[in-house]
Amino acid sequence: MGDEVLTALLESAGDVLAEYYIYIKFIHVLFAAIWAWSTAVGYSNYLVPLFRDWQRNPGDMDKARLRNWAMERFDDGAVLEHIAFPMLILTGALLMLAGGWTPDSGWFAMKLVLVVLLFLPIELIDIYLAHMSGNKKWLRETGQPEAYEHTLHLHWWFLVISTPIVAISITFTFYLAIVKPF
Amino acid sequence: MPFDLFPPLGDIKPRAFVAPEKTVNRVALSLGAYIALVLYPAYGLLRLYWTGETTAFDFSGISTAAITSILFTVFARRTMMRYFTVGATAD
Repeated sequence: MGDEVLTALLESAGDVLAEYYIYIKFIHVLFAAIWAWSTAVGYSNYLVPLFRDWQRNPGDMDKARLRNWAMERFDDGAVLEHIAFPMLILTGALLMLAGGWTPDSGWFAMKLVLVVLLFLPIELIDIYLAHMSGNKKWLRETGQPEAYEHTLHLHWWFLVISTPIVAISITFTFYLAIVKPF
Repeated sequence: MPFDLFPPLGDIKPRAFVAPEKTVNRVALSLGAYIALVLYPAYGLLRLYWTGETTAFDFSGISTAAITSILFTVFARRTMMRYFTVGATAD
């Protein structure tokens, strides 16, 4: 009985949303672009070069300050990405209802797996490191120098490990969504 | 550095960043294994649950997952080493 009510509710929601499918898709694609690329320039052209420059001479305090500045700015810069991600999840769910997409379609099943088992954990870690207890400005201003240095190293590990993951998986997700190959 | 934009170091004591090659290799292997042992099986099981199809687990599907996993391991290792290894000159 409960399942039937839920199915009927979802079908009704789908019928109502179907009329707005293309508009929801527009918002979804817009946030997908923000999520995927909003940090790319800052990461590649500021954070990475400054961090690597500091790595060559870790005892150079000026370079360490530059490194800290880049990382603190990057924490702030990730705000757009972390607003876009929940919006993507929300509009993705709406598109699923409006378009009647289910794991019957292979591309959709693959996309669901990537979202739940890859992007969601990555984003949760990223949000923690950039905006919650791992926020470097907050650690500095609350007088936690050891935690600052530790978290900064942890964040660098996270960013470097996630670089090959996101480079491939985000491109692949766009391919799945647009080409719908299987 | 007489520029107020940059945050003061205060009591922060920068220590050298260490990324042993052995650890990078393990991370790359783990990422590859995650594709082969978690992501692809999850896809196959979702398809099996939803449609009753087992095609994800046929030879072609499993070979594709295995090849993807190996290629990704190599790519991930190369990429991470590129970021962690620093030369003598600035980028």
